[in-house]
Amino acid sequence: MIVLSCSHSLQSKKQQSDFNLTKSKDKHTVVPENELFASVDTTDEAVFTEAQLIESLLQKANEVLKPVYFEYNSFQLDQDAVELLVKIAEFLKENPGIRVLVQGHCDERGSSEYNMGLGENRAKVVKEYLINCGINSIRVEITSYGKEKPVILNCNDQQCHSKNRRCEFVPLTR
Amino acid sequence: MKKPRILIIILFIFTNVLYAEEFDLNVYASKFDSIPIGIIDFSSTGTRLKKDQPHEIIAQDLDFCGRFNVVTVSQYDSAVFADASAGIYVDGEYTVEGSETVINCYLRDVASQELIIGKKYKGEQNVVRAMMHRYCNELVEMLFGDRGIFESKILYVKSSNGKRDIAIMDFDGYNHRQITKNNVVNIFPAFVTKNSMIWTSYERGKPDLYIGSVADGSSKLFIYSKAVESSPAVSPVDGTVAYASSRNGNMDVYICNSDKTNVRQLTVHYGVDTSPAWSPNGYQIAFTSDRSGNPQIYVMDSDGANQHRVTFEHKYADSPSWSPKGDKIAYMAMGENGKFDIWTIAPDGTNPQKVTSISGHNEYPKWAPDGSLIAFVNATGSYSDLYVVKADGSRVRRVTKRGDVKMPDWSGF
Repeated sequence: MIVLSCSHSLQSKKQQSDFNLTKSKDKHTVVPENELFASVDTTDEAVFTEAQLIESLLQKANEVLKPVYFEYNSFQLDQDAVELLVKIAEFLKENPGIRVLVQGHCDERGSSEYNMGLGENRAKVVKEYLINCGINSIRVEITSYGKEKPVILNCNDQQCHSKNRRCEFVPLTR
Repeated sequence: MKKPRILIIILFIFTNVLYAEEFDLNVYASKFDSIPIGIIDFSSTGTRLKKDQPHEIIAQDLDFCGRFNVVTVSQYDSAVFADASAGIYVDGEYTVEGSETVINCYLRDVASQELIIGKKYKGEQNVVRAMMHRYCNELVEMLFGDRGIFESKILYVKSSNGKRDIAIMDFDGYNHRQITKNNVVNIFPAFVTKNSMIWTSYERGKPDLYIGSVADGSSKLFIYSKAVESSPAVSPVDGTVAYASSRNGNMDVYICNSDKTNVRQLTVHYGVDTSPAWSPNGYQIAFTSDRSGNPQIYVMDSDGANQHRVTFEHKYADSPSWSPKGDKIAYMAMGENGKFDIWTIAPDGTNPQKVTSISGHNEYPKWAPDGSLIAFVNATGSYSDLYVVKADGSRVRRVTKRGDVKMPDWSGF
């Protein structure tokens, strides 16, 4: 698997998290990562549960956490994907409390079994890229839906298929 | 869930002993590829059944399995039977009393119209189909000495509006019933026994293997991790479970005991290895790997030794299913035009044969328990339905008209 190195060395900006599960009154308190994610289950027992973000953060998350798209039968990141992932990495740096689940998806061609592997490979390159951008691996989980959750059903043309070959980002609880 | 009413069968064998010695069913059966058999409309005393006439069910079953050439008539017709070379026929009668139905089925010699063997079934009206499936199984056993497929079931993924649930139906497409109702993706169902199944479910936000009841869907986690756990297949010999897992970084084939102990990793390749399928004797496993650059069918011993590629004809091959007789592996493969079709190949990689050619994608082959038929899914536009075909590509039959059937698994007898 070829994993690109992070395009920009991200400026370590001042942490400005609105996402503050510690309920501290001081929003700008920087909590060390090892404390922030101390309760994350890293065992096989872990359950991936979608986090309910607070209003202001939800809007920003919806703007930034857009799907990354792939070519047919490929799990290589193209230029558009890289640009998007750089923004996502910046967002994650600015919001150090957020964890994400990267869900790899495929178009509806081919077999269900093999596409489970392809979808996972897509999620893996995305995770590796974010790690290369300095994101702690505990903040990025991956899984695959293969071809079982297309955005558009019953595609007949390339443009339609291309919408289904993607990785989606879902905020996770800690 | 309420258990289905128990089928009550009373067997009366009216064999005319002297005559039975004269008509040898096995000799008759051995003369034909498809055995000619006449089916005469059953008569009734009292109320007539509103649907599911016994003779219709018998005729459908025998035609379905591909081992008979069925001739249906409303009454005895020696000319029609002679045209079809039919030496035997079935007739019968039934009575409906309240909720109870009694059905007498007679197998007779066309030449003399003498009884060869008679059987009597008794049960609630809602098990008329089941009673006649049982009769057809007994007919097959009388004629061929092996078991019929008429009480087998098919698990499948009910796929509608992007939802994926496990459902079950009779072998002939009747009695559909959705099993899972958990609002997450449920895929890759496989029978463990006729009453229990293993499948992949996203209840924890990612794919794990669950084992559950076919009757009510009650389930428990079986194999789970933070990674992808998919494509389970149960050994017909000892219940060992083969599956694909990416717990060690990328997708490989694993096996574990039926009590989920003794997990062993069989493939250790950086490519995607998935879709394990057991040989009937449990000695070997067919699987899919893209180690050559694109997905192809491979075979290995059940301890992971002797991994070798079997398919070379196609750009893309997956979903292997090993025939119950062990002589063939069915799989789906992509042709030059991007269309998928069902193929078979000998486990040593010789004699690849294209089985399907009907339009649309033909996918997910699974053998009938007696090896006579291959079930597959035909996907055309937004519809996907179950079909069956004989292994030589003849007698394609459409089984469902629901449009939502994917990933079938055929039970044992």
